[in-house]
Amino acid sequence: MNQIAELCRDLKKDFKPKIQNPASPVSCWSEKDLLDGKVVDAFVIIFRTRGCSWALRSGCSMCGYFNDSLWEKISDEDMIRQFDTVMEKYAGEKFVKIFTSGSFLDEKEISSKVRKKILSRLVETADKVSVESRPEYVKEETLSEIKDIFQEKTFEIGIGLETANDHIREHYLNKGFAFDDYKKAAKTLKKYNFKLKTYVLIKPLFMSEKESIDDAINTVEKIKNITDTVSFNPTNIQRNTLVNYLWRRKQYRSSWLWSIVEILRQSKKTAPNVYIKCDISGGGGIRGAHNCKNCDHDFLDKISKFSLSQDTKSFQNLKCECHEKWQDLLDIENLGFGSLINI
Amino acid sequence: MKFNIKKRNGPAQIGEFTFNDKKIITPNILFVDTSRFKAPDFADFLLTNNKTNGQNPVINVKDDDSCISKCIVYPDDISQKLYSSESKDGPADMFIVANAHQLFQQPKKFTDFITDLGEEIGYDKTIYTPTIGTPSSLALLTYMGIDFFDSTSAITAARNNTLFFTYGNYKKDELIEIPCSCPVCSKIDGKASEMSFQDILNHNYYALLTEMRHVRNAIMLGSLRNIVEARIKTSPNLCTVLRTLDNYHYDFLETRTPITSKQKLIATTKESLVRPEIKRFQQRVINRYRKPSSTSVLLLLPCSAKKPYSFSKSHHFFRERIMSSGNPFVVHEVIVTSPLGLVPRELELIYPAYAYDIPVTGIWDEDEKKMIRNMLSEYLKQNKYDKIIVHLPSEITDFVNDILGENIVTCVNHPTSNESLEHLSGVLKETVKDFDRIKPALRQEEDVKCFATYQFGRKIANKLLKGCNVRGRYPSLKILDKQKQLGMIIKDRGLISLTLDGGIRVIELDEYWVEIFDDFALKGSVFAPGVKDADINIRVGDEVIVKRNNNLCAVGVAMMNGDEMKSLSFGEAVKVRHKKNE
Repeated sequence: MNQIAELCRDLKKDFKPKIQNPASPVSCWSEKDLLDGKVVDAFVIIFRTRGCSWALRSGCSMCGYFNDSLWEKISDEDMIRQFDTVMEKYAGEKFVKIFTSGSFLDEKEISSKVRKKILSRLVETADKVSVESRPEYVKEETLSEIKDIFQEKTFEIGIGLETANDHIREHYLNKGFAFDDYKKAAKTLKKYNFKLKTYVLIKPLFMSEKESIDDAINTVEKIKNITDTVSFNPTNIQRNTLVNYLWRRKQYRSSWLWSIVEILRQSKKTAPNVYIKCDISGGGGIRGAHNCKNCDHDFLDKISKFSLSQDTKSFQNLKCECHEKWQDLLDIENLGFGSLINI
Repeated sequence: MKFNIKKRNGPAQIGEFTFNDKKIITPNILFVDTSRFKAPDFADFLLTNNKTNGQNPVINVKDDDSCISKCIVYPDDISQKLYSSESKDGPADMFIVANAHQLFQQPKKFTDFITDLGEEIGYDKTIYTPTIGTPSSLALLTYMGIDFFDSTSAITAARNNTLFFTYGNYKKDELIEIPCSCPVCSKIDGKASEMSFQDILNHNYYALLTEMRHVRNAIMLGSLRNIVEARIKTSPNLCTVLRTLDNYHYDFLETRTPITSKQKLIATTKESLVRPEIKRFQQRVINRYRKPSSTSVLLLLPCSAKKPYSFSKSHHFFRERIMSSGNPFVVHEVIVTSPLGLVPRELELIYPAYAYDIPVTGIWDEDEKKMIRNMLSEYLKQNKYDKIIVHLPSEITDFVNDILGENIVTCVNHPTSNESLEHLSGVLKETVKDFDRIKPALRQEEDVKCFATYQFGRKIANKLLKGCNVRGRYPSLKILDKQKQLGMIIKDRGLISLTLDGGIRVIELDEYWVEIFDDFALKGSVFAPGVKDADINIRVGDEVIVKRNNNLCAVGVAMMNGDEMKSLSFGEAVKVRHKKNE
């Protein structure tokens, strides 16, 4: 095990989940999203599972979603109870997004029996269902089962590639898979005509603002012919993670919203046919991507508008005094030997 | 590229890098030079992004391709585990502290780390703490042994409309008048609030440059600590660093602090009380020094503004009364003072006793009282007297009286009032007549022996003075073995300078010695590469004996401490005064 993996594991050593009820889902709500180019209501479900298998071994340096997991086996009955609970709030939205804080296709989290039951029920009303999975669970047999349920309806799998750069993924993120694994999974799911959403991380640990912008844009260049959607995730500071550890020691800052706008602009230019979006968890707060206090709200608004409209004109009138500071940072951050985190 | 050390003042050093035909001194500032920020014309070093290799920082000499070989060190944190691939043993000349800014937010940890790093990398390496260092902190950081700073703080401050001054930073809107005449500020025709980013940045560059020069001057003069104490008053954080340094890293400071100085020691702050020079003086008085053995009457006296004390008017009065007492040499004068505590008369020529200056108010604060009481009671444990006479103003007597035991107070109102002096005379006459008459020559020899004990320790002092006479007019006293001169007190040094005969006499005692290699031909000074071994108790400014195979070669003045002489491969180790003909 390399050092970063050890650190990520050690930080979880004394972790005890706060909520220990196996029958209670993490959350569910309705939000706006795009479906076939139109803005629609989308239903979001977050299941509580035993947890991401990778997180249980060591986990990624920025991921704190395991905080919502039970860390113990959950019975099929309890999983179904969770599903029944969220379905009480389901209003027949045409688009449903499922999260498990891990991999929906990992049978250690969701058994194939439960998976089938959930998807079969949803496909009755929804036109599109979206799930997430690490590439190692994107297997022919699993996909062919799902294909039987979905037929011509849209099934989307989101994979957290984070970056096309293997060095960064291995040494800064401890992601545990290579770019080739992602490409293989992409090929497999294309065979079944499923959609691929690729998550790209903005501002991995140990990278300067400038380096992270370059890396994100470079990643889009590398995957624009593979993926249907790019969803940018700016790192937010989640508890019990290595990111959190370094943030508390003032050795990490989430990205600037200026950087995100720059990345979205460049990405749309590079990959005009790919759907490009960005949901900013914790945006505007100290634990999320932010600029100065004055302009955060405006930026977040314009970024979510862009995610729905795909039109970079959304960014035209963004202005703030902090633009100069951000420019300074891009110019001199690397000259500070780790000292110029918060300029 | 070559690196040399020109001058030391505590852990601070003036170094000199030679690149091709260019010489650049340290401490110095690395100026950011990027597409966005152009380094000012006066920059010696540039801090730039490497254009060919990603964004890695490069430190360049201006108008020259030379770089300094460097090594990054990580404070003991998680990032060290992840990135400690580079070794501290490499041939690097510059040690760069990563995350220096974050470390500096924890002043105690910062101080511990920098002193540990200084110990570890040795005397001939330089330390760079990126992004920290502003005009108010440069003096302190340099005093800790940091050699390189950069201009990033000037940029980030300017971006926040903040101007640098040695007495702290001010936002431009807070400046009703522009309190600066640097080339930028003197051109501003109007209010500070109208200054542009570029104006403020350039002002900040000048402010850094000016303070850096002040600091370098102070190191050359040997007065850096005085500036340090003045500057830290602007920030509790800086104050914490200095107090941590003084309290927890005394050995680190003391081994690097010269034994003498021509500069005044300005004791105007709380921190002055624990300066390494002061603490060393106090420890030597308690641990090394013993009173002249023929004295039996202790006379406690107040200090005088003029130094040495005996050259002052007030002490002239006291001495007149002592000399006319009938048995003056049985009386031992000890001066009670802050911040030194106690100064026996024979040590008044020694640094810092002859060089300190304090505000005189007659008001003693609790720290001073505690220090004087502690020192006095320790002193009296080591040095026994039959009678104690206290000729101190009542402000002092009040807080020392209870630890003196039986004593006679002779000061009525002011120590130099006629009434007081008359009373002193009367009590002295009455007291000294009970003791055997002490001969002046004996007492003078004892006084010089006390002086030598303070300087060299008891072993050398006993041997040096054994069977000798002391001749000459105070303070230029000579130690004579019959007609052969062994040494002499030099007022300007505040130390005894030895002759070759003096050196021969004490060579076998294995103290204050420097041994040179067999094949090292001694011409002029002793240089560090020629030093085979040295007494690690030697400090800069000490009188030392140079030997080869236990044979005396020379006597002279140490230019570096013993540890440094042993480890360095360049630089003057001993300035030779007398060399033996070989």
